[in-house]
Amino acid sequence: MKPVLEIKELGKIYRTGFAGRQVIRAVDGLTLNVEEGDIFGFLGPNGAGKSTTLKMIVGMLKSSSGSIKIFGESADNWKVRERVGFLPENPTIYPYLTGYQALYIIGKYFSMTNSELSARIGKLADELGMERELSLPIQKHSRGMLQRVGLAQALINDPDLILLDEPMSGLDPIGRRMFREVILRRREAGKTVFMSSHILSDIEMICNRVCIIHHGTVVWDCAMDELRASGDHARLEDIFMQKVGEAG
Amino acid sequence: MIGRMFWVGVNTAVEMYKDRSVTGFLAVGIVLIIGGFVVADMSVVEKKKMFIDTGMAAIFMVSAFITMLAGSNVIDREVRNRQVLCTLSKPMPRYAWFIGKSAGFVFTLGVVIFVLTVFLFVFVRINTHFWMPAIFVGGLLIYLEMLIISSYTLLFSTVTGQYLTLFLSMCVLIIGHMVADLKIYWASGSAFARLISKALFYILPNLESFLASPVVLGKINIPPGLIGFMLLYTLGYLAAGVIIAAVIMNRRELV
Repeated sequence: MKPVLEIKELGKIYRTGFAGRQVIRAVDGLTLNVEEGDIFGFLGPNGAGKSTTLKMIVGMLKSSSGSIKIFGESADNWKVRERVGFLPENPTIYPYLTGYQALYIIGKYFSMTNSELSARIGKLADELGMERELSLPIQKHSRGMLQRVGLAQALINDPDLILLDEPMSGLDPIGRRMFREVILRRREAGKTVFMSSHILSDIEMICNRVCIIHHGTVVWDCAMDELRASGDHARLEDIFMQKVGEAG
Repeated sequence: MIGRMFWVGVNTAVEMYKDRSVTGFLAVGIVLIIGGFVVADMSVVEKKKMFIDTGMAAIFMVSAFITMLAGSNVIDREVRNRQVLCTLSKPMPRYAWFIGKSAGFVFTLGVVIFVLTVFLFVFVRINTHFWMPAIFVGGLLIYLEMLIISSYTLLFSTVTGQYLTLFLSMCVLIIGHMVADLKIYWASGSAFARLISKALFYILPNLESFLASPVVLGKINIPPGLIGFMLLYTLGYLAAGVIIAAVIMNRRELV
């Protein structure tokens, strides 16, 4: 399997306080590899550094140390994002535009043609159950519908690597199931998914690899098949509590 | 890349239009121009002069408010609301995003000034039976002045928040109209004062050169060559401001 996402010794330091004397290590020597076709669960308690890592992957934040490679190219190279889709936590999309207009403009950032966009938006609206909302201004969307538009904008370019930050947040059980099915369909199509979530049952159901980070460092990394084959029937939640507890 | 910048610009213009603050300012401008009719009616001086003075002042005021209020918000709002997470995670270098946003903003500003100028032109024609094409020269001068202020506003917005940007832009507008006074210090005995005053004189924009009313009323005659120079001066200013701001934006942490 080809590595799709390679993170090596990644670090992120925030300086606060007077003259930046207080140092907070949000991410501290994080190393992990995500291979083609993986659905990779990126777990950790609040403040573990998950969102910071995702923001560094998409170039929103600059790393203090280490490197990130996407499809073998540095993540600093914006062109690599042609093949990446990103759903941020609690996505905020142009509130005055309708769902269709927002997706259309975002599609234009990928230089898609009008006919490509029209077909793509229609397909995504159908897949995510948001046909009616496409003509509504985004500021009038419910939380769950906003999450659907957020996922649609992440998938507009049919990306090979899909980065999802808390994709299930704000969704009802129907929406969660729909999102799981969308993610599984992407894996069947050979795509790679890297997702952070606090909803461990969803992670257990769809991920083939899981890693837990705490204080910006990987404390546990395991293939779900190995976990299931280990025979101890340990639930991910118990392992999560144990590993985070051990790491202090 | 041009296509991406274009769509960022389109989106910025559409958002500014739908935000209603710009259309609100436009409506205020129209009301102020009509208000000038009432003032002119009560005035004992020449009606046409009053129309022009109040009309150009209305256009200037509205465009200055849009430049400073909307301009200080154009970058800050997108960063503050975290909309950048969905935009800049796309294949889009930050400088392209910034240039697109700036272009969308100055385009919208231009449309507002043009609409108000056309309204004043028609209003003056209806009420005085004079055709005054010089009103368009006045509108152009106001637009050029606002582009210079915009270059500062956009630059400030990359390093600080909305309110400080607003305050600093206002300072530039005020100082820009007083910059000629710095020449007083050129005769100073202190070499340091001379150096500083000359440096500031050439760095800061001389906005008095862009006063619209005297030009429209024929008190000052601007030859076409000078307008060309002013256009180049403004574009130079805007380009310098946007380039410096884009460099800062490239290095900045956004969320």
